[in-house]
Amino acid sequence: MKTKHLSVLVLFVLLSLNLAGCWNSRELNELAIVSGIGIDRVMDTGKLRVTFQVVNPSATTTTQGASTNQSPISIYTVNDRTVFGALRRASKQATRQLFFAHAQLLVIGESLAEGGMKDVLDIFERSHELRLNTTVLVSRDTDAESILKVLLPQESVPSIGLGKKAENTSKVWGETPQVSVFETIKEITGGGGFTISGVRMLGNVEEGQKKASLEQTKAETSILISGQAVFNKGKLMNWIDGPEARGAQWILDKIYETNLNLDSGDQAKAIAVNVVFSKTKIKVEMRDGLPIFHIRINEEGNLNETQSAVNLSQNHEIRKLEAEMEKLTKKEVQEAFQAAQKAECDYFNLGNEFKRVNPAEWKKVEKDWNQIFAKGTLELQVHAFIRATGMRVTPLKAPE
Amino acid sequence: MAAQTKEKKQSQTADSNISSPLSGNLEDDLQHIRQGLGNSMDLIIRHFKMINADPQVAVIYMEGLTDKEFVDDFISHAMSFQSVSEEGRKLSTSQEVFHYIKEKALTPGKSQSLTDRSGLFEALLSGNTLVLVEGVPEALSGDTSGGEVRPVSEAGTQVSIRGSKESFTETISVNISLVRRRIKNPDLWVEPMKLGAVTQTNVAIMYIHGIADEDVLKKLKEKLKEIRVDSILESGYIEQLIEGTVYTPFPTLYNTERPDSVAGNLLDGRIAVFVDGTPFVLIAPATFFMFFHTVEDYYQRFDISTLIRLLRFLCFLISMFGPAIFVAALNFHQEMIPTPLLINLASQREGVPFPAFVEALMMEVTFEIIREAGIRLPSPIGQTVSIIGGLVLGQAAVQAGIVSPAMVIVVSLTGISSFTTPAFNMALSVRFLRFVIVIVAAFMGLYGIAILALMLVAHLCSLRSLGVPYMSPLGPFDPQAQKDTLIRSPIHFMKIRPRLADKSIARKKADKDRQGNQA
Amino acid sequence: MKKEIIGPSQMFAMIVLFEMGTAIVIPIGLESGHAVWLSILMALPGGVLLYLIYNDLYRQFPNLIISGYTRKILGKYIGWPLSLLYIPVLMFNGSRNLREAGDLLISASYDRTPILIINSIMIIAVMYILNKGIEVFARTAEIYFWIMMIMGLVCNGVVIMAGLVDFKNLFPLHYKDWMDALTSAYPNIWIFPFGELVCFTTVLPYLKKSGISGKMGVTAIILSGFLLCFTHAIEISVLGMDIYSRAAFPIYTTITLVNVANFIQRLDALVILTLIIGVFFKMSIYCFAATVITADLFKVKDYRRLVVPVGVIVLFTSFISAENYISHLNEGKVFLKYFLPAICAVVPILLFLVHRIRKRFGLYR
Repeated sequence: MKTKHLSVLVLFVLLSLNLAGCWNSRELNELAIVSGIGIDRVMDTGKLRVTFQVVNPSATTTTQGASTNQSPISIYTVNDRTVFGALRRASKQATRQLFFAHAQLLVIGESLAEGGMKDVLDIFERSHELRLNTTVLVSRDTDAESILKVLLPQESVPSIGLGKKAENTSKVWGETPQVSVFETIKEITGGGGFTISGVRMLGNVEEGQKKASLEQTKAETSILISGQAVFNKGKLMNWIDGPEARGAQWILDKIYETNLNLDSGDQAKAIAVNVVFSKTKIKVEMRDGLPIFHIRINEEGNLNETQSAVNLSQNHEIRKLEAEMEKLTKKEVQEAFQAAQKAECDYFNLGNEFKRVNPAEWKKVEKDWNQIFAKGTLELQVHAFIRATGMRVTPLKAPE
Repeated sequence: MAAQTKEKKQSQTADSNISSPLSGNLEDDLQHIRQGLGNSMDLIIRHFKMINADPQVAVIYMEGLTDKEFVDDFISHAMSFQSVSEEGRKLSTSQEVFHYIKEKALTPGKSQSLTDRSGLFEALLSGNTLVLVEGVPEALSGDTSGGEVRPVSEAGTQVSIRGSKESFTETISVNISLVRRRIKNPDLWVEPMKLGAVTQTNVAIMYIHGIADEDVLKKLKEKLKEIRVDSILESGYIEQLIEGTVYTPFPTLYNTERPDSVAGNLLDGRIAVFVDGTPFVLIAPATFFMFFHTVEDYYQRFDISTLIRLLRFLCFLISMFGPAIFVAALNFHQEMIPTPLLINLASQREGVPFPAFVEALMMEVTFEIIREAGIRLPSPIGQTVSIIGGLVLGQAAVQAGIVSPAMVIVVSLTGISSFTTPAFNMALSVRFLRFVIVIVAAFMGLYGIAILALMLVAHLCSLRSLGVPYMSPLGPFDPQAQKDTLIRSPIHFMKIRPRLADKSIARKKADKDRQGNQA
Repeated sequence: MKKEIIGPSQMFAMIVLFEMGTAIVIPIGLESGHAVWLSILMALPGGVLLYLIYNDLYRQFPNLIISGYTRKILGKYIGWPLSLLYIPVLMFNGSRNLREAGDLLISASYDRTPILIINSIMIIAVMYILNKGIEVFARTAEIYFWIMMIMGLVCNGVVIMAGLVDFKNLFPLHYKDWMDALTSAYPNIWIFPFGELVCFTTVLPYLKKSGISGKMGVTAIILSGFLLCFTHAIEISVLGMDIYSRAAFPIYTTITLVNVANFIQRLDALVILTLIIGVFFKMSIYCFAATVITADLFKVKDYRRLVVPVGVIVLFTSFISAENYISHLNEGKVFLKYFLPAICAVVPILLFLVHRIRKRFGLYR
């Protein structure tokens, strides 16, 4: 009786397994691994031009004896109204089914960003294959397609390389953020403005997509992370660079590490301090219908280089440098803040903070927050500390 | 089936023919014995007359089963007494002679007198020497068993770095003594029985009275009594005959050839079954986790032992699920693999003509072939086979582009992992299950593996070994026993005996004694 | 046959697994905004109270399952048809759980596999284990309890380690949030998942020691309440309210975001595994409850003979009941609002009161 039951069950299992017949089974060598996606808008038709960067596994340097002369990536470009439509339409060009779970990079073309990029993000949320922690970049002065075409030195897969570039610079220089699709979606739904790192190309595409361009010490065409694209209501508004951009990062509490060149008594910008820790705290309060933003920044740094003869063994010299650090930080933050106010766009998401703390009050100002934000005042406090001066105390001196 | 029962009947009738009292007529009885054994050439019968007595005396023994020295001793003791008779009187009657031999003639080992013919055969075949005296319907049997047996040697299958080097032999009495030497306690009880209608194999149950669970013991005895087969040639016969669930890939009885392992298990309240003719002793009841423990765990320090034990469980999981998870990830869940690794794997698989599943199966089967081929061969050749098989075949297959290097890595890792399971029979069942799981993985991916694992655990939980839940002490959960299941805690934490059934906890004997001494 | 018995720790494991089953995967109590975690905590005392009522009824009739004492308390003519009502409700809820698991699997990974296959594989496992009996089931639950805990620890651990958690999303709580939390706690979260414990009225009679049922059960419910609260709080703090409320399976989205040192990432499989295990145990208990009640009402000696029919009905209900996940969710809203509370709360409370009154006034013959 019992064994009969068991055998019936086993039979059932086997039969249903046969039925299952591997619907979802896909062989690895039937897949084309997409490493990067670029989306541009075709101006006249309103369609999307979607570019896929596909890895050629046999030509990547990870394999022993990758002797094929193929390029490590191939590019497919497709026009369609929807992103998913484009994915499928790409089958006309690709020998294998495109596989998106490993897309490392999403490049939004400037043309698309200007017209609003919200709609193309839906598929990233909805699909289980596309990932939410894909890095997003906005192409600057060029289109997404060209960015994806260019080969990079060192990294055989350019999309991975670009993702690393974005991460690297945001971690040690702090002028541009590394933003993922998830964060972008969160910011768009949060209501305020936001910023995404820009990426630009030096040189031309034709040279950059040839493998030969990598055979020289300085690649013919190079891609670099450049500035932040400011979005207001999901549309690209303007670009910010330099101190303005770093100031914005400071307000957003996204500085992990950065370098400040400080003035000292005799020479300007001659002392390099590496900021290794920074924490920003924000409080928003409404007074007479206008917001006051209390921003407190605590930063700590190590002195890494000095070209001026400061006597670092003296405490008061260090104090002076710290004050200098505070001044410089303040200047950048204020610059960034004023730029945002001038543009009437709260891309620091200070509104969100206000909404969180005081939802009732927020309801009243929600509608024209950007205007109100532009009239708000900034109360900035910066505390800087220099923690270390490296392997030497006093700088070297030549006898006079 | 029918033929078997018929045979059994015949052998029973033969038994009843033999079973009759001795006649007292020496020639008759000898003739009977000769016939009973079919005039076998190893039956030795020696006649002689005593120096000062009339009655004919015959000594009977089986060559090879007996120790020649013993037999000679026995005979000379029985025969070479002085003509001086008891109380100065000459022995004349057969009875007197018989008594004299029985009382005075010293015999090595135990001796007894038999009156039944069937008893004679049993005694003879157990290596005893018989003395028959003309006119006495009784036989004197002295234990002279011996002959050529394998001496106690080092364990071949369960090797340990530290700990006793002895292992069991094929002789049951030696085996029992090996355990007794380790547990010098009167509570160590041994109950003999004979199993197998034809082979009449000596089987002994050994347990420590007061520690072994009475219920389990009763159940085991019942099960042993129920055995009705012609032959018991190895403990594996008994194992298969008394296990509760036949349709399971998992072994529900433990076997070992190490006396210290048996001793340890006896002290944990388990029962050992010795079978004559095999060095493998059965231990019951067995639980799942037992198969991952070795005696050496207790000889090394606890931290090392714990880590090694955990490593074994990890290896068990790898050897069970390794290839399946690899196939599932490769075919169903490519998104799970980190990008650089995926690109790497993809480039390896570029030229491979087979689906990953077929590749895995192929490699697994190849591996099994190499293993099976290596196991039966003498060890020098066996090593050659594994080198040719493993190195040459693997390397060539990869270079020829028939399999991807990653698959070779996975399969060989699985293979090596399966060797870490100390119990060979558990490793065997994993070997079998691995294929099932790979097939399921190829059809349903991780979901299939998860469901199959659930069913496997449910199956394991449904098993019982002589009434003790197989998955104990994890399911049913016993917090006390956790000290010696997945981990091995320091010995002074393990004063309480593991509970085998739902019984009151017995404390370790030493504790009891110590308390007794203090009181 | 030997009577099957369940130990206290097995009971504990079963309750925790049952509670965590689906509630950990799908968003619950959406009305309460970012205060979901608060409403879970608010619903907890109600859940405990409800369990104590079940437990009290069990202590009064230690050998009877719910359909048994319904007939005792309300009499044969009201009790029998009322008990009959349990069967479809329990089976339907079991099938809903199955459906949810199937849909997550399909949307997460098996998009080209028919739901029939996914669900039938699951139900085969359920039938297999129930065929082995409740005792084997309890032991399996005990082992999987630890596996679940370890996986939960790993999942939550990596999410925290990845630095995704932003507790700002959980606070501050204003008056409105408290009210919202309360309204979603009662009756929604109170019934799902706490009220669903009504299934355990059929398991309790198998307990080895009846005295421990109250204490063990309450501890298990409190533990699972806290675990649920913690997990959902983590989910909201990672995703933010907007994405949490739009996600079909927030825990899945949360785990996909994990990336620790570019190495520990893409742990989606862990979530799917959690779901499979949770749903498996939850559904098995539903099926068990339905089976035992049916066996009791129709006087079938061995409930195991009913396992296969019940399983097959649950399987087919699971994909016939709704044509897509959206209509499944909408059905669920109605079901959760009217049917489940009636069975989980109204009837047991009614039984409890009637029993007290009859006992007090000596109305039992």
